[in-house]
Amino acid sequence: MRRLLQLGQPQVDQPRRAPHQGGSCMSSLLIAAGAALGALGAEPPKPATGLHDLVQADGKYSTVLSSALNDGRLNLYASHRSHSSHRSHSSHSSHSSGSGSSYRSYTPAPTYTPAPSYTPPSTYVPSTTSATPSTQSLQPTRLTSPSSTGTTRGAGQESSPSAIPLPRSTPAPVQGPKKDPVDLKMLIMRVQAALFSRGYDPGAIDGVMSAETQAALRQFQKDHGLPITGTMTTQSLNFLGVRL
Amino acid sequence: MLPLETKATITGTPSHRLLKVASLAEMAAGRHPYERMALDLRGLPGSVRSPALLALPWGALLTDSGSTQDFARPTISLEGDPNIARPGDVLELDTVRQRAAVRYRRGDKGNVLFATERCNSFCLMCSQPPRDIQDDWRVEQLCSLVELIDEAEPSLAISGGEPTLLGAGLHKVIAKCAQALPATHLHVLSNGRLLSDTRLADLFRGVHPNLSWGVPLYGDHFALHDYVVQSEGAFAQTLRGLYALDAAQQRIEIRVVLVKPSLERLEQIARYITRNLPFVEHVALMGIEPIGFAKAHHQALWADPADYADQLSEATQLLARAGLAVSLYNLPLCTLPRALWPFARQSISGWKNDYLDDCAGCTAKSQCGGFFSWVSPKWTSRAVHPIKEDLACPAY
Repeated sequence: MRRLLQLGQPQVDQPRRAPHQGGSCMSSLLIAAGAALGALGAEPPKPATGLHDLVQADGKYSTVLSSALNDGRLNLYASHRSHSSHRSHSSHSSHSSGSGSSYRSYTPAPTYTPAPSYTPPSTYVPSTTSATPSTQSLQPTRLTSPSSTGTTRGAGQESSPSAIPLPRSTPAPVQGPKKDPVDLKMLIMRVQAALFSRGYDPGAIDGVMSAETQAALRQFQKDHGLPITGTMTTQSLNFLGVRL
Repeated sequence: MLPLETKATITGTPSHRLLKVASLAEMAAGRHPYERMALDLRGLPGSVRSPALLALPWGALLTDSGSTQDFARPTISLEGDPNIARPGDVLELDTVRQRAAVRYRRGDKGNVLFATERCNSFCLMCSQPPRDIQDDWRVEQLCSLVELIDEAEPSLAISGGEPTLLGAGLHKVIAKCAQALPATHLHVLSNGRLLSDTRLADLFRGVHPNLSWGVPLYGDHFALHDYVVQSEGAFAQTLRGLYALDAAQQRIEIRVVLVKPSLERLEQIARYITRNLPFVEHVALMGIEPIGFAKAHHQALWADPADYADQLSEATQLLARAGLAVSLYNLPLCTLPRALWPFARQSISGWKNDYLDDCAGCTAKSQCGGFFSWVSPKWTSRAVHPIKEDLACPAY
């Protein structure tokens, strides 16, 4: 993706420890605003007057203002709270492209109603960055070869036909990446690993959003001045150094 | 100093020969596929070791030696010092010989991409005597290694053997570094002879944002240089190579190893560099490494720096006056005139920072480059003595 403006942020894969550096503060506000635009309630939007206009004005340039770890990547799992809600995900997949996108060019149609035959509104312009989420955003958890992914799922994961990930080379219909229980489990495991290696106790590293893990996440968010949600918000992932 | 290789018990067949040792931090970062990492289970509390964690498609699991637990993945347990492999390091596994070698060590300042065992020169003091074998397979192996090296690695040397013998293969390795390690400083140690072919030198134009070349020059005259490198025509080729590198906009360091014949003409060599190679960005004057071929040529090579203080001073000042950066390596401070101390550098490699018993009471020890780990009295200057003054306010 193009980065026309960089606000002095190192691009390396590092947690930003200081929560209120100019760049990361701005970018987190923008992410929050983007989430608000995406009509998602998971990342609590910060009340900021004028930001909406700013983001819209910025939108036509299709640039990313800073380069936090997961900028431009789609966090499908930001609102995930516990393991028990797994089964509902597959039925949501048809309109998952409306969840938590930070695309600048994406403006939801006012008359949007979730329907199985959902087609993206015409204002949805896949910018240069839009190809990234479908391929790259899932890459780290996709790094497993197909055969070994099978093995992983065999190890104690309910497998429903809809959970089988599509090969990424298949030209998927324009509905964006799907939530996927295997990806979710992998992401939770990496968040648990990150919490553990930073001295928090997420319990067993097993890919289950347990009470312990949520508590550790909440404590981490509290210690870093982040909104305390106990969920894997993009901001928390950035601070944890977990790449989406 | 930790060894680079050890016996290991390797069960199963790891999916890759090269594996990155991964703690949970590497797992969280998700920069490498699981298949290319070995999860370090040593010291990981049982409470976090879930079956789901162990069932991930790890290339291998690094376990405590003597561990009897049964794992579904290939396992490695290392003999000896457990610190031989730490998270972030890259291990090469030899399942046949049951050995593991460290190919990259996180935090070590002397990591080398070893390009080839072959060389087209046979320098009198070669520390790494060449072998004439076909080892082009190293190109692919290095590309694979580069993928596993930390993005934040400050510097890597590319050495051998003579790396340019890989031809376009060397370009491939450096281009791979440009892609995977764009922020890492690469320093290629080459005799520059093959770069006299400008087509080869031109390959490296703009290939990596932070690339430099270290090229040795042992004489101001062909007879001297060709004698030291034991190869006829080498001087002319190296000079053409230096000019070709400059034409390809490469950064160049000239290295002069202080062997006796070169030390005798050091002032003339320095003048030759200032007049003919003013574009070089750094000149390194380096003490001999008493290993390899050097051991067989003690008589021809050894010169006590204490006997050549004038030559060293003249040459160093001449280069400095010409505006070239000069550094002295592998020369203990006590063997150098005080005026040269600002030019003396502490070596960056672990095997070069050893000290003698004499050094115990020396007040300059913390600033001194010390000795090679394999130094012997034969290769030690008689000027070596502990410096007793208070250096809180340096003399220079």
